[in-house]
Amino acid sequence: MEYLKKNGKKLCFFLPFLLLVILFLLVPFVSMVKQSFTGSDGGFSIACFQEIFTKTVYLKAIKNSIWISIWATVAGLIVDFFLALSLTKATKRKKNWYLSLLNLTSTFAGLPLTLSFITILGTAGVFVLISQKIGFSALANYNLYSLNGMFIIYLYFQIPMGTLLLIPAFEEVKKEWREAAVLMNCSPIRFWCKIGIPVMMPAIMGTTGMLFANALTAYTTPYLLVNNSIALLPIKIADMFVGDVRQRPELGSALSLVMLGIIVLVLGITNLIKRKFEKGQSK
Amino acid sequence: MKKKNLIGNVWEFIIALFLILPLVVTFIYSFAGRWISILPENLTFDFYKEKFSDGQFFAGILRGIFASAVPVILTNVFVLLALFAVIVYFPKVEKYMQLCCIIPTTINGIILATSILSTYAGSNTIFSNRIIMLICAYCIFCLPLTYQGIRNSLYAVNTKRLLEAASILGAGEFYGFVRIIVPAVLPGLVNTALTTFAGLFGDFAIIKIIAASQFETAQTYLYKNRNTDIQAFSAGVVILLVLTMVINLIVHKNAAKDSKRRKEENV
Amino acid sequence: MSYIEFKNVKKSFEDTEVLKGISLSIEKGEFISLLGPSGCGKSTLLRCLSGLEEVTEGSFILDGRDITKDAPQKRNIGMVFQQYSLFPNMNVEQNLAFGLEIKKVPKEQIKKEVQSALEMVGLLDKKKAYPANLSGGQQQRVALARAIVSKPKVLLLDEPLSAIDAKLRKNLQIEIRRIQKELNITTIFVTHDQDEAMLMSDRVCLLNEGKIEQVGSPVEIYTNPKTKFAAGFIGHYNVLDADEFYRAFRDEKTKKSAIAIRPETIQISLEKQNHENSYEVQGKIIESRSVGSVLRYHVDLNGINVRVDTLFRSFSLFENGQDVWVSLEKRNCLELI
Repeated sequence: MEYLKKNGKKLCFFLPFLLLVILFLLVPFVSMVKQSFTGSDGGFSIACFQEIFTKTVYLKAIKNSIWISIWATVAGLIVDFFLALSLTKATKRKKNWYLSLLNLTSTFAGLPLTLSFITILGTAGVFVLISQKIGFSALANYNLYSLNGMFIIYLYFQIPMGTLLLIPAFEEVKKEWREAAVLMNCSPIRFWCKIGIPVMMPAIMGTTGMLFANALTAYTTPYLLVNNSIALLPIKIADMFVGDVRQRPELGSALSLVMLGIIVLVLGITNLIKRKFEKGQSK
Repeated sequence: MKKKNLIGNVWEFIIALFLILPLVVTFIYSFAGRWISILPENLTFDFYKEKFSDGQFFAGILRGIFASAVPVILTNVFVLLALFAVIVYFPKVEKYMQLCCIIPTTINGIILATSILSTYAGSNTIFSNRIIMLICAYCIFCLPLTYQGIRNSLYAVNTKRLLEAASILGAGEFYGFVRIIVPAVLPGLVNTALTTFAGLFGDFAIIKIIAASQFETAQTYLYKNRNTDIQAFSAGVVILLVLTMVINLIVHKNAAKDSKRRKEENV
Repeated sequence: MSYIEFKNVKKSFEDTEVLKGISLSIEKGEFISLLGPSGCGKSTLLRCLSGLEEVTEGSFILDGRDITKDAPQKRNIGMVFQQYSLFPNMNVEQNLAFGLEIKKVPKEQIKKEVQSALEMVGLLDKKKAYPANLSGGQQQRVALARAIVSKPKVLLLDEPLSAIDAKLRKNLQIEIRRIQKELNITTIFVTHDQDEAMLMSDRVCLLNEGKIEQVGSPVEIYTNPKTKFAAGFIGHYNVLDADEFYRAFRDEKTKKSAIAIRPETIQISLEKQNHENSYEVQGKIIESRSVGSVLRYHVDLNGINVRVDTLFRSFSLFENGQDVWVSLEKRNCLELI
């Protein structure tokens, strides 16, 4: 009490921040957890989780979400890695130009991005129509409104983000290491396997986590393209709260927790790998 | 030693093409009269005229700006005040504050939106107002980036030392903070603020879940009209895109200038 | 034939010519320094020899073989860089073993070689440490050990001590020289610090703007600079062009373009000395300053400022503004190209 009286005025500086965090982060989170463990009678129950892990529709949603996120992450990482690698070798002018492009397209996401892809590859998309005219069958029957078709948009929003995160990591790989290795008759592949990638591993893992979470929680793109025709976690979750059919906030909360669990699991794994490679590199 | 970076160049080119293509096609589409063959048949400004004379679309943009600017300003003020107290009075609290500010990166987007919605929607408090709810959700959403930006700026100018110097000259800590520190870090803050603003302005998921029916921004307007004329629609997308890209370019330029200045100071 | 030969080596980056035709022979077991101001091309020359840069023209002969077109890894060269060249994800032992593993040296032998290299640089106890946990000096020792462990034909040192603080640098200079002698390994050392070059090398090669100014033993270079640049860069020579020399010492114009005079060869006295074969002129003390055990005067000789170093002896102190006689033996005036 004495302490409060003495420091009361100083603690006031925290007040707005604390109120915001408590009311809109802590309370909603706690109530979400509580709700997810609430049964139909209002008491404690794990019925929601039982339902999620037994009903095919939810299992399918989880499976689809993880599937597209893993592929979007892996494909994104590969594209981003080689793009960042080749950009570190590029001339300064080209690099600056490319960085501007990446920065520009990094805001190109969500609704505008998805709508753009509909204009290109949707049922009446320009490329699809053109392909039909010239008889290019690979694009003529492109189905954007499917898990596989949608993947191209996922890949699109992973590129600027991942590359921008990886470029600084490549700059960490010093020119001297490469030169020292060359003098020792070390091939480029061996250099990257033994030195380059291990050194960059913490950054790569950080990027992996970001890309995965980004893909897993993407809502706008699947909402606009497939909505309920293909089960995906974010769509199912939102539906439980604001859907047109029966709303079931308890089940939505439980699904949210499942999604959160997947994110935390992936972040945990990437962090573990990161730790392993950080040995000896601490300053 | 000098190998031509051929594969790299091809790779760069393909990715650049992939990144630019949707932008360019949307852009052309918004000018195209009819485009069902290889080339559009004619070019026209009609769709832009239509968009600019469409009051609803304009109002949507203004609402979007409002709903994005208010949270950014609020969060900046809140975090500045709290970090001031942390640096000057309670250094030990910093790690807890950091934790609070990092959590939203994990609990992002729709989890945040749905949990806030289900907590306050039927609560009959002031928070059940969807606009207030949306603004507060946005505040949480931009917390991580804002915290990171402000923290780095405050440490870069060595706030603690400066305030000690100010207090020896007779200025109170808070007075010194407002008069010296805030003006010093403001240019840096503007950059983070603009980035978060652009992020919020481009958001569709949160607003769709929390306030879609009550509060129509440009994004939700486009969503509602997505089945109308596709060209008119492209014009709308292009207008939104140009807006975010202008903000983005300003940030990019500012950041480049900033790092250049810092380099010169170090020399 | 010499062990290493540089034959008219030229190198251009885009439009600028960095090396303008360097020819140099180096004997086996020699320690030679490439000395010069930053941007003179000394590092570039070293990198061209290692193969990390391609030459535009000219060739390198190493041990009787033309290596100009060889890939860097074929040249059998060891190199120590300015800094940060250790692989951060490997400990000291792994860093040293890396090159040997690529050569497919048997495990037992690797262990032995690594051990003896570490012993040589005095870091046996740091075998398991990671680079980030070593001091700058220790890191450079490891880098040196890594460069010599595979027994290269030449050891290239690219300003290895420039990021190390002054006191430690002295120790490392002596140690590098000791190791070089022990292994009798041909070594090319790049530096911009003339004291370092003088202290360590058998021969010094002075470079300026992509050209060799002078090659010679440290004593030769110090006592007998051949060019204006050499005289200015080494020691604290007074360098006067022909006009200035004439005004200061009232001598006939020389044919050469400039004259160098070491400050300690000039004498100051209150009266005329009448030495033979000397210039003797009157001047005025402008400034005096003690530099360690030396007292340095600036003397005005007919409008020309000349530095004079005298040993610190209390009976020969002069005051500012005092008129004095300055004498200089003619043989101490070195004519420059």
